[in-house]
Amino acid sequence: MQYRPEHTDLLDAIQDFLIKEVLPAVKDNDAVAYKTLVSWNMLGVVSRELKNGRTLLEQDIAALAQMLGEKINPHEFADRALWQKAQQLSVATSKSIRRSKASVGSAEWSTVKEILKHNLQISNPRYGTD
Amino acid sequence: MVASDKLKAYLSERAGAPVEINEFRQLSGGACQDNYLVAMSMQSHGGSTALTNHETCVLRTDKGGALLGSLSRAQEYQVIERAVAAGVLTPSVKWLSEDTSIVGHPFYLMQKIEGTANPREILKSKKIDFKKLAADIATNLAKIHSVEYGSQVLPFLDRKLRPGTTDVALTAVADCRRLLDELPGGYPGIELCLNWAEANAPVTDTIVLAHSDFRSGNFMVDVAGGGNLTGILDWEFAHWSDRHEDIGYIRMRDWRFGKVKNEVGGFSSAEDFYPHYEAASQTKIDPVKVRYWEVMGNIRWAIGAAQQGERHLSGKDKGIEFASIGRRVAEMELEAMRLIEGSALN
Repeated sequence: MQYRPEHTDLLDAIQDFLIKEVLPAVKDNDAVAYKTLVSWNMLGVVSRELKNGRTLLEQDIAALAQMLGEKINPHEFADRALWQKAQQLSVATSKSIRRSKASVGSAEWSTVKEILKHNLQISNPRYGTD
Repeated sequence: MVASDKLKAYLSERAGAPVEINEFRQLSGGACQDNYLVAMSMQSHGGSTALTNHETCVLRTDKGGALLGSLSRAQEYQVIERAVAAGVLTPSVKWLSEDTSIVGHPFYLMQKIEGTANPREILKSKKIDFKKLAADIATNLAKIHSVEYGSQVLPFLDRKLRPGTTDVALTAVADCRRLLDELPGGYPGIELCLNWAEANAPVTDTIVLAHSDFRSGNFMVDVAGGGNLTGILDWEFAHWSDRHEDIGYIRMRDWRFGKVKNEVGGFSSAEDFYPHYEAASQTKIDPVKVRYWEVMGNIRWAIGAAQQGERHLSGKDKGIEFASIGRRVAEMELEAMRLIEGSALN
């Protein structure tokens, strides 16, 4: 067991440091300022993934498995194995969609769209609000 | 890379006089290229007096392994020469060398032009007349598209695509699938959109030279000096295509850099852009084809983003900027799906 603060609090602290102290110090160097902002942004992605990633991934895996006619209980997988399973199902779904020529209006379309929306909840929750 | 004696000797040979390199430093580059500023001075003899001429250029070379199906420097050089001949505002090029012993990769010199291509700096500027900028960019796009396909024109680009058919669109779909097959991951959203693109492939009336990365970020604008367009940059993806490919591409949501209501590049409405293109090209823009190619642009950029993430993972080009782009694929997938559904921008 680890003591407080937990991982997401540590990431928040690093994010704060980057935006409040590092960015003003490097603002005249465009490339480094840009990479600092990207790093701040990616720490946010990791933080959201640690908080909600597992729940969303379990839903995505259940949806992909159902589309492929597979029976899977996502709760049985450890974190790393669950991620690998998702990659595997995503490749299989992609192949199946190419074969079936499924497109707009299909059940696959709605399912994949929901999975992509889950993706954005982690990778860019501000997407669509700009 | 440093300015070596070999480079100095090559420049002297091409200049026909001894060249001194006074400044040599790296500039921001593209995904596959490195750009260096080269300030040179060379002696010339005018009668009995020796004159010193100063010239500042950009040396453009490969960054390592070329990716994403981009052109070689020698091919890019010829495309730029053709574009310049067609009257396109773009930095002129000279002194191509394919000798890899000089700077490690083939390279050429490019005219140095004033301004910035940084889209955020351009889009937030209060000094720019954006209607004029839109007109200038539209007119230059028409000039690029004035280069029509012919088997003798830029023959290395020839893929035997037939005008009056769906060859161009279906080849683009096939290219995307081939690139997807090279990636370890699966992208169901892209596959669904490609199925739509295959079923809805439009006919290309005239096959023209497409810039193929025609977007904010590749337009050099002299923000400090009055806001004029000073050049179209980055020809590495140029190919024979449908004119609507470039028009769809400049409209892509991601190239609006947050100014999503300005549908052309984040700086213009279609109403302020299309008429200038149509007048200069004498060709009517077909909105159905524009939407098709905007979908294809999003698909292509989604695949490009996935490739950049893999590039980081492979160790070829490690960096947070590449790694982070790999996490952006879903944005382009959803945008392509929105366009196909014909939904409003949310």
